[in-house]
Amino acid sequence: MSAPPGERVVGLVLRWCSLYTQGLDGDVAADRRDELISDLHDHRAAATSTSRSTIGRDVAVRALLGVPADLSWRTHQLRIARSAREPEVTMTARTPLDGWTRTAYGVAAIVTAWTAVVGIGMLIDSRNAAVGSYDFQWRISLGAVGIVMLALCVHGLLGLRTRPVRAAAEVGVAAIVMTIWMMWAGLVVAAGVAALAFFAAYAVHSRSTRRAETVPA
Amino acid sequence: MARRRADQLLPLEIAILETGLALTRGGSEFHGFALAAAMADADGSRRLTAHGTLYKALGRMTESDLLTARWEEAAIGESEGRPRRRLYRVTGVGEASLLRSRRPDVAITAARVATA
Repeated sequence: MSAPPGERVVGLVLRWCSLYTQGLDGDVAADRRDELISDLHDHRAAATSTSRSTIGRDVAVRALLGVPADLSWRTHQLRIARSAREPEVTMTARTPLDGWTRTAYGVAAIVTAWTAVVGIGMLIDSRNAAVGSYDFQWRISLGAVGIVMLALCVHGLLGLRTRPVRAAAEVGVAAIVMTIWMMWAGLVVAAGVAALAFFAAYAVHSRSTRRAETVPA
Repeated sequence: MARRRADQLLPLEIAILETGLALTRGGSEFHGFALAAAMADADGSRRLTAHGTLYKALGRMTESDLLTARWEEAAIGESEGRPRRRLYRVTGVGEASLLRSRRPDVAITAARVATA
C-alpha cells in the first residue's frame, strides 16, 4: 500500500514544528502543533486528482515561506513567557541583551553561515567529481557532516537565550568540526578554535550568572 | 524601519478579516485551512498563505481581540475522521477595525470572496 500523498513532507513539517516550539510553554506548543496537523490534514483532503501529485511540493512551499514567521512567532512567545516571569522588569523596559549574549548571537550567526556555505557548497560541488571517486566520497561526507552541523547551529541559535550552555556546546562543536579539517588554511582553523574557546567561556559565564540569580540574597 | 500604529491593520490582517466575515456570514466559524483556501480563491492565486505567516497572524489577531478562537469538540473531528480544528470568528472590534482601515485600493473584498 502506498503512503498518502505528501506524507514525507508532512513529517518534515511537523518535525520543524517540534524544533521551533521547543522550550515554549507546553500549551502554546501543543496548540500550534494541533493547528498545523489540522491544516495539513485538510490541505491533503482537499487535493484534487490533479493536485495530488504536487501536494508534497505545495505543502513544502507553504512551510518554507513561513519559516521567518515561525521564528519571529517563537521569539514573541519567549518574550511573553519572560514577561510573565519578570513582570516588574518588563513593565518598565524590555530587558536588554548583555554584551556576552549579543556577542554570542553574532558569533553563532557567523558559524551558522560558514557551516551552511561549506556544507551545502560541498554537496553541490560533489556533482563535479566522478561518482564513486575518493573526491566524490570526500565531498559527500563533508556535505553530510555540514548539514548535521547546520542543524546543530540552528538548534543552538534558537536556544541561546533559554538554554545557553547547551546552545554554546552545539555551536562550539559545529565551529570546530567545520574548520579543523582545513589544516592548510591556518586562519580558518584559528577562527574555529577561537569560536570554540569563546563558546566555552560563554557557557561558563552563563552557568555562573544563572547560579548567582538562583542563590537567595 | 518605522513601526506601525497599534490600531493599523496589515494587508494580511485586512484580508483575514474580510475573508473571515464572508466565511462566517451564515453564522458559522472558520478554520485556518478554509481561510487560506478562500483567501487564495479571492486573490486568484494558486498558492495558499504560508503556515507560519497565517497562524502567526491569527494568533496576533486573537490576542488583539480582532478574532475569537476556540478548539472544536474532539468528538466532532473524530466522527468526521479528521483532527479537531481551531475555529475563529471575527469580533465586533475586528469589524470596526476593518471599517476604519478600508481603502479603495484594498485588493480583496468580502464581496469577491462571497462570489468566488
